[in-house]
Amino acid sequence: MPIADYLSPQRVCFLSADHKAGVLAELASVLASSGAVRDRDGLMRAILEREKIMSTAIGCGVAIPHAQSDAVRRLVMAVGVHRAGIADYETPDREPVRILVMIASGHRQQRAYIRLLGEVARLLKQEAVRQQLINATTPAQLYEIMVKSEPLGA
Amino acid sequence: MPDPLRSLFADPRPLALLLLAGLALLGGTIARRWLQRLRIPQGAAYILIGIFLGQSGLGWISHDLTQRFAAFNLYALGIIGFIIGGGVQREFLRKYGRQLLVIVLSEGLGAFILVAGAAGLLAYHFTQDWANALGVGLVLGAIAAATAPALTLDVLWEQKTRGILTTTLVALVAFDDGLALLLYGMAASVAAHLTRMHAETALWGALARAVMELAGGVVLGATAGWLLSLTVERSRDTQRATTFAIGAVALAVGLTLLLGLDLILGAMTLGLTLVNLAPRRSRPTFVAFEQAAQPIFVLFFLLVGAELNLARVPSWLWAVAIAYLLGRSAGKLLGANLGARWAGAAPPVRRYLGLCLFGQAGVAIGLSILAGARFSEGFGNWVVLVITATTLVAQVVAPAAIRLGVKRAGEVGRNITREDLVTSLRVRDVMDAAPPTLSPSTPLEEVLRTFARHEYVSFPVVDARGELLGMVSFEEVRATLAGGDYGRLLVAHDLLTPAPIVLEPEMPLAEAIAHMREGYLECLPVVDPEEGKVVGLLHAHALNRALEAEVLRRQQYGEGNR
Repeated sequence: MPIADYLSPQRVCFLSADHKAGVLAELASVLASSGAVRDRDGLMRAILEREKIMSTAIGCGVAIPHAQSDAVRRLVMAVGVHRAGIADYETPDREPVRILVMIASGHRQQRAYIRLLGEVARLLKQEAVRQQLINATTPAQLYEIMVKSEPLGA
Repeated sequence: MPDPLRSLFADPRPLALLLLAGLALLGGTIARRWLQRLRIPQGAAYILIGIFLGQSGLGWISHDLTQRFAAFNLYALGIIGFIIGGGVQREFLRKYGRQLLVIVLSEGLGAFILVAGAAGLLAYHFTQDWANALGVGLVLGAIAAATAPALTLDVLWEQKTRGILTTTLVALVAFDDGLALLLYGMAASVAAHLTRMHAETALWGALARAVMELAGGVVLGATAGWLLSLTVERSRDTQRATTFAIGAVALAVGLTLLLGLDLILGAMTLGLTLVNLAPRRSRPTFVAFEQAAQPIFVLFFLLVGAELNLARVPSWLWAVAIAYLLGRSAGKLLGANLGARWAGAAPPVRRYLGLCLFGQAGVAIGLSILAGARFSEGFGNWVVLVITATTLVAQVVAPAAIRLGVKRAGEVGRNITREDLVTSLRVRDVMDAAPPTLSPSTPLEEVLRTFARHEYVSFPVVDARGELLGMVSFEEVRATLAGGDYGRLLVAHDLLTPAPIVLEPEMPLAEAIAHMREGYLECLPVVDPEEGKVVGLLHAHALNRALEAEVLRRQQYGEGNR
């Protein structure tokens, strides 16, 4: 399952907000620009509801906020990097979140959605990949790293 | 309205006959439903309709009109004799053997002896006419041996019985009517010659002629049966075979009448010979005849009811009817008990078989019609009245007695199938009332453990108030197995799919199963419609196992003995 199928160069960015809600809103807007999202606010509500159930930060400075919602037409993702790190994202290892991948899906692509979440999680488990993302200077570089890197154990 | 109908039925042309037959079958079947609602059994219902329309009621069906059915009645009795003879197969006899024969003879002869004695003595006491008294005694005694196979099987089916009593009873009722026909043949021949005999002239001559009549009937039936079996064996066409059989029965009935031989015995031997010489090939023919028997019985019941003229019944005859009922019941009870003892039958058979033999229906009615016609100068009408009245009683009493017998024997509810069980249950009865549930925040790891611990293929996800959010099914969980290391990323909420169908606890189980079949669904949540809370889970495999176990349990222990 190539990440390139769900990511485009327009949906990678550097984030500017300095708190969790802010960066999530930024990423939701990026996703909404793609045409895969019917209703940006609906998506945002689903994302926040999911964060309320359990934080999507998985440690090592990575968070993968995700949600399924009727506001979404098809499976889609966006990547954002925040060099300084977000402090108020509840993380298992207290490390501030620097890399965020937002994945949104409609209700009909459940299995692809789950597989994509696994794929991204495995990709970002790699220290080298994380380092490259944080060191990248342009969105184009971010995109390259995301689609060219081989997920661990694939 | 009545008058045009009355004049139509009085029409001397054949149309009256056809109209009556048509209306009787159609109207009778419709009216029966209505009477059934009043819990009046089928046979009794038709007799009551006959009484209502006949001489004791509206008078639409006159004596003249019923007399015009004479040829039909004789032929119909031939068909019934043929069917009953066809039930006596060597295979069957070998299977049930001596034991059954002993029981049939003792309960049949028990009823015969007690009824013949009681009815005969009473009739003599009131009329001082020994020939007619002996005649009516013998004929009533013979008819008393008959039972009611259809009625009996209906009750057994309704009660879902299974066991040694049921098995014995099913085999027994098939033979009872045969014995009754045999006894009737003998009784009627003897009675005919007795009543015709003048005072002191040779009793032995009369008996010899009676034996001739019976033996002649048997020889005629056997010959016709042998010839028929040759054609049936050779013909591959079952329609042709059935046509031949219809002709053979008519011919045999006609010949017995022409030669003064016993009609019923002739027809019975015909059926018996055919079924044993061509057991397989004759099967479709007997099936066709059995289908024809139902409308014949309907007409029998109606006609006998219509013939009943309550105003002309001598009052002492009611005493005979009561004696018949008592004698018959006592004879069956005693005879069945003694017979079962002699044959070494199982205790439930010994104790309760007699109770199950009170049924009286079409064969008894048919024989009474035959007697009514043959002894119209003498005691014929007495037989018709006593049998009609006692059949009415037996139709009501017998089902209750059979129910009591099989219940006491503990055989009720054992012949239960999965379908029976399904129709009697609701979702609440079989659901898992405490299913494992997940909360939206249950981590993937815990979800996987839940799947590993239970056999269910999906689990309900509920919120803090217990309301259903959706299901996590194995399909979604399997997708995570390919994906690898999710860590804390996935929770039950991410795996949620809407429940395709939500069941309610009071929903009939059959409906729930239909939903499962249609949607190929294995696991469905049960939600209380008022509170909206998940109260259970219905799982196809667990359901099947529970149903099978319950069917087995009920087959072994019956209903109610948990």
